Amino acid sequence: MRRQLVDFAGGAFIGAIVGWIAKTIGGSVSYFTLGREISLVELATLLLTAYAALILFRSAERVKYADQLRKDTLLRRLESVRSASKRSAELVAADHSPTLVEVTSASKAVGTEMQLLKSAFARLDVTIESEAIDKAEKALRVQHRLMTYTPPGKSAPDSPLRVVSNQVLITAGRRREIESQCRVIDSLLFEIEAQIICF
Amino acid sequence: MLVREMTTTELSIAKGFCKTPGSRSRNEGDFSGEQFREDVLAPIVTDVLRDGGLLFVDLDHTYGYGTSFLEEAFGGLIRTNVATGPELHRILSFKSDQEPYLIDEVWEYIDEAEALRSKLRN
Repeated sequence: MRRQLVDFAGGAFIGAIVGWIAKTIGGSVSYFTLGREISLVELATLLLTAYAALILFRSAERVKYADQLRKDTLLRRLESVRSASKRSAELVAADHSPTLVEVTSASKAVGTEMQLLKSAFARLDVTIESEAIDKAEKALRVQHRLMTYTPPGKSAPDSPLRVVSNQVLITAGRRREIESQCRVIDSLLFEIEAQIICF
Repeated sequence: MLVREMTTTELSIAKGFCKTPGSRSRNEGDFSGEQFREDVLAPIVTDVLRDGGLLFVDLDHTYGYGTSFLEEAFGGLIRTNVATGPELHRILSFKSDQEPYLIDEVWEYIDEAEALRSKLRN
C-alpha cells in the first residue's frame, strides 16, 4: 500500500512538472505533427494519461503478486505445522513405543512451527479470524498433554500412559484419543487454510 | 528508611540441569521432574524465599518438555511444602521464547496444586 502511494505521488509530481513546462512554453513552441497538428499541452496530457495507466497497471500487478506471495508463505508455514503434528502423532502409532525425548522433541517442533505460523501472520500483516488459530493452539496443547502426562503421585500401573526407563508406553485407548485429537487439529488447520486462501 | 534491593537468581534448565528433561518421577527414568525439583529447584526456591529475592527460570534451549515433568517440578513445590502458590507467584518469573505457551502451562500447574492444597487444608 505504501509503495502504491509512493508511485502515485511520484507520478503526480512528474505529471505536475511536465504539465507546468508544457503550459509555460506551450504557446510559444511550434506544433508537433501527429496525423494532425496537436499542441504541446495535448501531447503532455496524452503522455500523462499513458503514464498514469502504466502506474495503475503496475500497482495492480504488484498487489496481486504480493498477495500471492503472502498466501504462499502462510500456506507453507501451515503445512509445516500440519506435518509436525502428524509426525508427533505417528510416534505413538501401534507397535511403537517412542522414547520420551522423541515425544517431547516432536511436541516442541509442533509448538515452534505454530509460533512461526503466528508470527508470519503478524509479519505479513494478515488478519484472519483468530479463533481458529487459538483453537488450533489449544488442541495442540491437549495433544501434547495426551502424549506426555502421567498423573501426580504414584505412577499408576493402569495409567493410560506410563514412562518406563524414559520410554513412553501407551494403551490402545489413549492412542485412539491421540488419533482423534489429531483429526481435530487437522480440521482446524483446514479451517485456517481456507481462511488464508480466501483473504 | 531502609531500601532493600531485590536480587534475582537466574536458573536455566538447559544449563543448570539438562537439555533432555525426562518424565515425572525418578523411577520412570533419568532427568525427571522429581529429580530436578529435589536436586536443583527446591534448594534455590528455599534460598530465594529466605533472602527475599526473585527467581527467573529460563525454559528455552532444551529438547522439549513433557507435561508431567513441568507439573512435578513446579506443582510439586507446593505438594512438598517448599512454597505456597502465592509465594511462587511473588518470586517466580519465566522465559520461554521457543514455546511461549509453556509459561501459562506452568502457572496452571502451580494454581491447580495450590487449589488442591487449600482444599485439603480446609
